[in-house]
Amino acid sequence: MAAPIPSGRSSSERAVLLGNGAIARGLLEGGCEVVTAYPGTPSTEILEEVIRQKTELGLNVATEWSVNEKIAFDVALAASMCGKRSAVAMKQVGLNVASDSLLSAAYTGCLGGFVVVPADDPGPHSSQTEQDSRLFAIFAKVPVLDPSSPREAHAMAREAMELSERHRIPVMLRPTTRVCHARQPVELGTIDRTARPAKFVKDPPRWAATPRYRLPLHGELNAKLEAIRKHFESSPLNAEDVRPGPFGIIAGGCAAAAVRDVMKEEGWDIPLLQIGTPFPLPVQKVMGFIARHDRVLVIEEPDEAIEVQIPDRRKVQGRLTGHVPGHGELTPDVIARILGAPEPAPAPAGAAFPPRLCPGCGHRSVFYELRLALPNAIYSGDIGCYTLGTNQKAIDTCLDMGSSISLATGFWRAHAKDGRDVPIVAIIGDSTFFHSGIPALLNAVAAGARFVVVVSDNGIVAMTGAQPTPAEAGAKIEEICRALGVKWVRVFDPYRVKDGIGLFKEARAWTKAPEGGIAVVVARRACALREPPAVRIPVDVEAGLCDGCDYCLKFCECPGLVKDAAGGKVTIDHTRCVDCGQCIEMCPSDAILPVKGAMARP
Amino acid sequence: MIARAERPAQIVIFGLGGQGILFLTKLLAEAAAIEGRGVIVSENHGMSQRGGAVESHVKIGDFAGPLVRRGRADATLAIDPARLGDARAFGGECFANAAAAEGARALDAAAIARELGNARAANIALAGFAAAARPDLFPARASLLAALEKISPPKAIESNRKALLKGMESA
Repeated sequence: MAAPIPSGRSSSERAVLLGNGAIARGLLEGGCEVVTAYPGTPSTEILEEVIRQKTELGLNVATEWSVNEKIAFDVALAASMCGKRSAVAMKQVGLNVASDSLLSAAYTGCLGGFVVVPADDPGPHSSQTEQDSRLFAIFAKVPVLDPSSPREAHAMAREAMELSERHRIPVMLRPTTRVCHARQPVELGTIDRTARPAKFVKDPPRWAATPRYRLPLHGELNAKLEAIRKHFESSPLNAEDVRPGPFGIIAGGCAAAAVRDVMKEEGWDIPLLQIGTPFPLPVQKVMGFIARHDRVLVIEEPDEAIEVQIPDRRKVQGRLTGHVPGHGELTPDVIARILGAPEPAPAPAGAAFPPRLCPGCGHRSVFYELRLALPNAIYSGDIGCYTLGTNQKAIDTCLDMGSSISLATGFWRAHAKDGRDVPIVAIIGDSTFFHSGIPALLNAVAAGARFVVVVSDNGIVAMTGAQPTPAEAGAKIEEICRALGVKWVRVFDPYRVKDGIGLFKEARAWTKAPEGGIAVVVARRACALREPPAVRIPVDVEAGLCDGCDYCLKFCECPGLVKDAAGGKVTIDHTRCVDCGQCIEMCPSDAILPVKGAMARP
Repeated sequence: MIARAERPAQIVIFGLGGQGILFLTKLLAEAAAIEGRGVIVSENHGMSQRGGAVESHVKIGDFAGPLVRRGRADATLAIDPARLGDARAFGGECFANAAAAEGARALDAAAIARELGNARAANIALAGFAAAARPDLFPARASLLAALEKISPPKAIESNRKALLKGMESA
């Protein structure tokens, strides 16, 4: 349950906020009236917190979970073009999706303050890359602020809004996982409740700029960046210890916080320049710092955004010189090692606890049924909880959002070209289907591809904690598929294991039929975390029948099934089991049985 | 000797997804804030919450970043006994949710929680146990209770409170 947010009318109020909550608060204090996002760890709670806080404080702020990051970006940008202050949040790879808009918007600029918040994930903890959004800011030519804590993120969100409106340029705020998911007391400021009425002023040379107008806009952009760089030279966001010495450290973001803590613990007193504005880099300040030292180490993550902008690196060490690891999170342990602190005893090899699909999850049955129906298929996977189908060996690829269908098209094309027909299955979740599966499916139909698409539909964005999808507004996946030209579409409940096996075989047959093509199976079952099974079928293992073959552990792979170490048989962990009854069908010895008197599925 | 309120404390909590690690982390952060202490904590979100290993860090005092260095913890809590090895490697005094545990102070917090009819409150009982055993590191009882009231869902306040107090009595 969320703690109440103080009203923020007095500046002395404090609240313990998640980093993402601190960003939300900073945006609201900065007068943000429109906030959009597509969920993705570690960014999701930014919009969730905006929604919570605006409700708590009775603010008139428009919020939207958009269908994907590019759309979220455009919606928020247009609000800024109308003079409103706005923001868009996403995870770092979401910025790849929104990058087309970002690079163009850097040229057109904006009107109301417009803050872009991509959350980076060094580690990576929940992402496919360790990419550095600060490098994206350099590439796109937009300023970026880099907080090292929730408290700084709060202040920088406000600052980013001001900076954006003053210079009419999108401004990036780049938190990382350890800021987003840190929690800290934050001094609250006053919410700017100014209503800035939407007013779109036509200005085709800017908002509809053709290449002819893009050239002067590029010049204008360069001039804005130079003005901002000068402003950053004296900005308090770059905290500098001006003492000279043989050795100094330049650090940014969470790495700067870790450097401070390690120095304190080790009793070291090394001058530090914390860069809060990595682009445009305040070059004079940085070169002045370097001039006061014989050697300077640059510590930043996940890539080298500060280091590459330093014009003279003769005294500089960092990632480029191999003094800082080129991949992985810069935890205090890593930073202590870089700085030469004594190493702790090696960690014992602890047991691994890989994440697994939840008990009762409908995805689990989908994977089970697929493996039985189409055991030799190429399983083209996608991004979501169901990437955990790797545990059931029913996911062979995972590239990025929506690529299950486009990769499947490529798998089909590569084999079809050789005159071969192989079973191919694309497995995509409902939100990912809306996000970027739709154009991929349209393409597959137009290409005349032949494969099976399974949309495993649990009704929400489950991985990130149950955000709504367009289905809430009535979007129907099966209707969309038919409209895209798919002639074979079926919907079923994946809990019905026998039905699923039969349907997947039928679907495969359609991909081989002369009149056939793409076959879509929508496996619809609500996320078990949000909606536990309505029909409860408690089960137990009949010990006399279980021969300890481990088939259920491998193929059902439910956390509720555990091997009894002593007896070598499987038992049900009733603290985890949600009585979904799916495993009854998944025991070759029929040893998993409904508890006597339990209701069978109708 | 440093006055109690000024002693920095680094606490690391280990468990598995779904065991209330996030809740406990938030509890300690709110309680420390109620005492006017500096505090910064780090939480695991996302994929790790699907039953995977979860580890959260709590730093009370004047710290800049949220992560504790291995070997530098003052106390660790193993909410799941399976994480005992990881907890012990972080240093400091280890408190384990187990009937008995080597190298740790054990409390069968799961049994306490079950007795109270709130099986999910083992995390809170173990925190109470550790807080009573190490008042030099953890927020005081009154602060923990106030924080618990603030962040618990209304219908869980009473049973959470009982779990905390029962854990404290067991120290």
